[in-house]
Amino acid sequence: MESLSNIKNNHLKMTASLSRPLRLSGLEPLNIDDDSLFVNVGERTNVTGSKAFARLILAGDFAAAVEVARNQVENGAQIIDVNMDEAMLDSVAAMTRFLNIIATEPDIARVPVMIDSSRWDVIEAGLKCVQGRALVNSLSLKEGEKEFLRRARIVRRYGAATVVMAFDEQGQADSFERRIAICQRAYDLLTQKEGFAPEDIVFDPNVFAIATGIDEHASYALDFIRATRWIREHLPHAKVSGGISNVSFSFRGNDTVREAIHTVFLYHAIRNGLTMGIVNAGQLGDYDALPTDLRDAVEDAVLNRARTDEKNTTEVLIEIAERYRNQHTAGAQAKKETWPEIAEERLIFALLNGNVSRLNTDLEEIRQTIGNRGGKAIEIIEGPLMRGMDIVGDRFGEGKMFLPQVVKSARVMKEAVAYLVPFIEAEKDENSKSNGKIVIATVKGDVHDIGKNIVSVVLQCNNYEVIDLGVMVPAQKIVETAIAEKADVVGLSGLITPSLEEMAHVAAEMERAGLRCPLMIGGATTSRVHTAIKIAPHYRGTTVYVPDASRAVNVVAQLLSETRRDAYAAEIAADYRRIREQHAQKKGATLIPLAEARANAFRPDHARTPPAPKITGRQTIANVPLETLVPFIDWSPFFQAWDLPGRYPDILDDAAYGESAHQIFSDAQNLLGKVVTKQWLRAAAVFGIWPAYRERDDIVLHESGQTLRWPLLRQQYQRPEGKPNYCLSDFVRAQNEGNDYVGAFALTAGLDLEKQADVFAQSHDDYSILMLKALADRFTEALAEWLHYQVRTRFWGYEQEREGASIDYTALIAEHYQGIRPAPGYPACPEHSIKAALLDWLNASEIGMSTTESFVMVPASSISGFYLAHPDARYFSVGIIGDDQLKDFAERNRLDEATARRYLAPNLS
Amino acid sequence: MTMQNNPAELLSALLKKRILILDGAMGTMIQRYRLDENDFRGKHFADHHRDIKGNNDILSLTCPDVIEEIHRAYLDAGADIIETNTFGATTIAQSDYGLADAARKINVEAARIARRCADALSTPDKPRFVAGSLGPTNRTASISPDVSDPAARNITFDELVAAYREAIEGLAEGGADMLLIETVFDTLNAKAALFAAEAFFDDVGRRLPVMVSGTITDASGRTLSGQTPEAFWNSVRPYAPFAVGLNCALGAELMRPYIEALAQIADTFVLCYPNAGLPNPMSDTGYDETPETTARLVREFAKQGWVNILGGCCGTTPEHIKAITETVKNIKPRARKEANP
Repeated sequence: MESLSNIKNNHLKMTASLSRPLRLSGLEPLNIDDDSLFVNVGERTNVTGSKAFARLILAGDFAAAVEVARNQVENGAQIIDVNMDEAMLDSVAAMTRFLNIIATEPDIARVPVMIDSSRWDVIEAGLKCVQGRALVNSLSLKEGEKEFLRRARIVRRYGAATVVMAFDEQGQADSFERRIAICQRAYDLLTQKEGFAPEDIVFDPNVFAIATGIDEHASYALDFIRATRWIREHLPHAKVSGGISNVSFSFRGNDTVREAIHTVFLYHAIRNGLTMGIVNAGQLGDYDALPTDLRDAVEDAVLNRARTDEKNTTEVLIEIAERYRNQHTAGAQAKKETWPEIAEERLIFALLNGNVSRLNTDLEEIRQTIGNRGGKAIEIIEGPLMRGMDIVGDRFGEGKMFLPQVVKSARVMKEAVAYLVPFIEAEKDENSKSNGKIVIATVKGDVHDIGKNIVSVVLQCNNYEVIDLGVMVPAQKIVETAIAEKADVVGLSGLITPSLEEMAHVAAEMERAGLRCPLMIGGATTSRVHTAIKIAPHYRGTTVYVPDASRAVNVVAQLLSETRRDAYAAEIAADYRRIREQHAQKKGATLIPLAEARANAFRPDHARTPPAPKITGRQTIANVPLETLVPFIDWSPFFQAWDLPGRYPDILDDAAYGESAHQIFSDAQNLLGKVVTKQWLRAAAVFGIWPAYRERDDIVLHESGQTLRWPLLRQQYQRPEGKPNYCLSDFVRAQNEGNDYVGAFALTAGLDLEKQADVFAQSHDDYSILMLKALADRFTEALAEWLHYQVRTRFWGYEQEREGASIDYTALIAEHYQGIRPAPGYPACPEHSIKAALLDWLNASEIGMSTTESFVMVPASSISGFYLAHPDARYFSVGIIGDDQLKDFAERNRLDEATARRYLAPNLS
Repeated sequence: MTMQNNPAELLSALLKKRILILDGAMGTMIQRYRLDENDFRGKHFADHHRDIKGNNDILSLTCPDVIEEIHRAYLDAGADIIETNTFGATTIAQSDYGLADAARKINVEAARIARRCADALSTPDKPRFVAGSLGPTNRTASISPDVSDPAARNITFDELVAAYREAIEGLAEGGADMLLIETVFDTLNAKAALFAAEAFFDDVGRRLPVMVSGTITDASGRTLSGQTPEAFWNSVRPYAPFAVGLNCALGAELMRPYIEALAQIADTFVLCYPNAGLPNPMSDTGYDETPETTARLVREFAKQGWVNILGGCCGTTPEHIKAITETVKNIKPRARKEANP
């Protein structure tokens, strides 16, 4: 079987030894040389040839017009012909608009465009819209050589190739001789006078209607075919094209016969060298499949053959044609897309393929199914649509999709959301139209906004209100807008490296303004590590890195989800903390000399130093009632101890861990009740507040000639500009700066634990032993929180005491109060050996606490540490220190260097 | 000694003998100077109504010494071709700083500075060339900025042509030997630059060699506007560029398959100047690769016979260029495919 699409013309005698390809492109290349098969140029996006397309364009329905183009490409068009020559149309505007739209449709834009117009201004307008290499249709000698060459020059300047019509000052060529003469002349002018590459010339030797009843027309098809052969044999490298549908114009309304004529005509034209043809790509027949009587009659007409029965070929054809009217025979079937069976999967298919043709039907179907089981329309967005967008994100990351396709998917998403919004609105109790408000900007000093614009588009498609501040936006404006607009999220973008610093600056300004909304960071040079280390530390709100536009929706959805918000923030915070710790431990952190670090110490405002304590000196509380501690318990670490990741109370509702969490929590509550009533644990504390001062990097507590010296470490790595090198001693006054105080404490809620543990052990109840130990840890932490509260409110007295019910335990657990209680071993004071001296100073043995040789406290659930009360006092990580600080520390601690090195090993590079 | 008389011939002759070296990043080097707002403004723009820190192109007017020093550092490192500091010096990109009016002057001065430096170090054995850099601008002619209107554009072809024409005139006036249309992420923008160049050459009756360098932005192996490397080549080939290549995004390691593809099909010289790997905001240059790593990767391209001109983009420094110069000096350049066999 010889179907039209695989007839080769390479049996032609070519004058040139090697063929030079005509190189065209859309998003993908199309190279046409002598080995190429016949190239289909889609004709349906032509207002002069397709009434349906003309109606759509005249009605301004470009969305439907785009579908015409898509169908052409899906049906095999390798180039699409676009023509907007219609008297009632602003053709320049229509050409521009249509080409701009299909440029954003990757499955159309992948093929080159043939810009078709009889008006030069329309052609030029079209050439300004295509990034690929286009074909102009057409140039001719109609207005003389000078204009012909002028236009050819401009075509070259736009980087296009061109169709040249066999038309000159005398008119359109209708004989074989006129055709070849004009083509020869045009070829010589273009190649010799203009330097046009011959392979970039595509001749159109005029396809005219045959079987019109006029005798002179009978040879039109044959003359075209002969001219085609002549051109291919005499004009090296030039190609040949034609508007195929013209040939069957006499049989308008009889598609069966028209297709048969096209098929036969092409069959012969291609064998004689026709390179391409403007055709209805969906309706190319198969020469061998045509009914014999029809094919013979058509062939006689096309080749202008005399019949053996001497009947008139046209009359015979007309007679046969009547028999075949409207019996579809040959037309190639439109390529069927493989839409999945299940509606939800069709939605994902639509997103992945940027195809909206069945979107509303599918959405409606799913909506009704969900509605029937009592669900809500929003579930479609949160379910299949978000799942689809996730796949889009994955594919983009893997390089299986490219940007214009991602944008296309986002548009499908937008349409889907638009369809669902009225239903979602109707189902809502309160009326909140947008999912949230996002202020987005490219930071000061940077003008790159392509990525930011894409994020903005994708977010808007998902029903977020986006306030886009544009490029080069100063921190002040971002902060002001975020406040004025009550932004739910702020997004910062930037491409160039200096923008990284500016982002850190914006974060610091947001902190200064008291903002707490999440901050998203994106842009080519940003990274998760950079965000964690350089930006997040400046801002207390959640700061999160977004790797690419396709992920933005997912990140924002989680940041603003009422159920997921806290857990997500905690996950990010934990992840970024880990990154910072890893980074701090990495070799190669730039160290500065200790003297320089000290010169860059933090200098607190001493006017804000808290007043002298109400009560100084050592205090003991031998037995704190456990029930007072219960509300101070922070349960989140409890779950972490059981390997259940997440925050309390969210963890109880977690899809994956909720059930286990519930079980454990209920067991814990059970045991807790017994622990409290039966006093299976005992809580005790020693603590006090003493006069103290800073000396070098030490904190010294003193009382009647006795001193406790706490040698501390200072951050010694290169800090960003304007950031101090912290040491805990910075928060305490030096002797010459006035009086100051520091507290100290040792406490445990693990007393008597062994007694009950032994009881459990006897019944081999290991689970209860573990649970008891976990509770002891929780009670000890709660005791520390409770005691700190007592110290702040009663003993030091710088914080107002509150009565029972008005205590905000959540705020306490989240450490929203003035002052800190660093414990030896914390990243701010990583060295443990001070514990021995501290417990000594506090005489902690009185409540049964001691340390081992390696400075581990007994009982296991114990905490000891210091109270620093200055409002600026904060936790930080010392990180890597240098040898100079190591030596200095050894000297201050009266240690030999080797011992000091052992103690500080984790902080040495 | 200037090379302006017939740079194309001289360059072609040299390219037959060896791989030529293009310089490295300008922005990365400028960052090392830690210039502040006042430095960027200089005397010229002390009272300018907007902040202009970050507008590296303006430095050719306000801190010419810095630019000169960077050019010299690259020439000392072995660069045969240095690029003018004009990546963003179009009226379009400058308008974001309120400095559209300064665009032409920036191009003239930047080309003059580069010309001075190149001439000072040129010898008959090692002539130096100035390539006038034409960046993509920060607008794209093929992508819609408006979600609800895919036909919308924030720049037109004609506006791009006008902006590029002005830049090209300035570069030619300042003494550029050639043009380098670089970091092409939307080929329609590049076509506007090529259109402007062709019109300019026709008007003045003199041609400069034009090089075009695209950017493959993501793992799909396409430009931002969606073209494959060969589609990109088909779009720019009609302008018969002196060289075609790839630069910027991805870095040499990930760029490899695309530079190979281009080297197979392009019937002209091939250039390649990748970033120093992927962005790494935690490193000093902002990018991953040391000079040794980049040099090792591009040496492989040279050994495969894929390239005629090698250099560096974002994150590369004179140390990178020196390492590249050393490592490819004895490797035979790619044989250029003949356009019309």
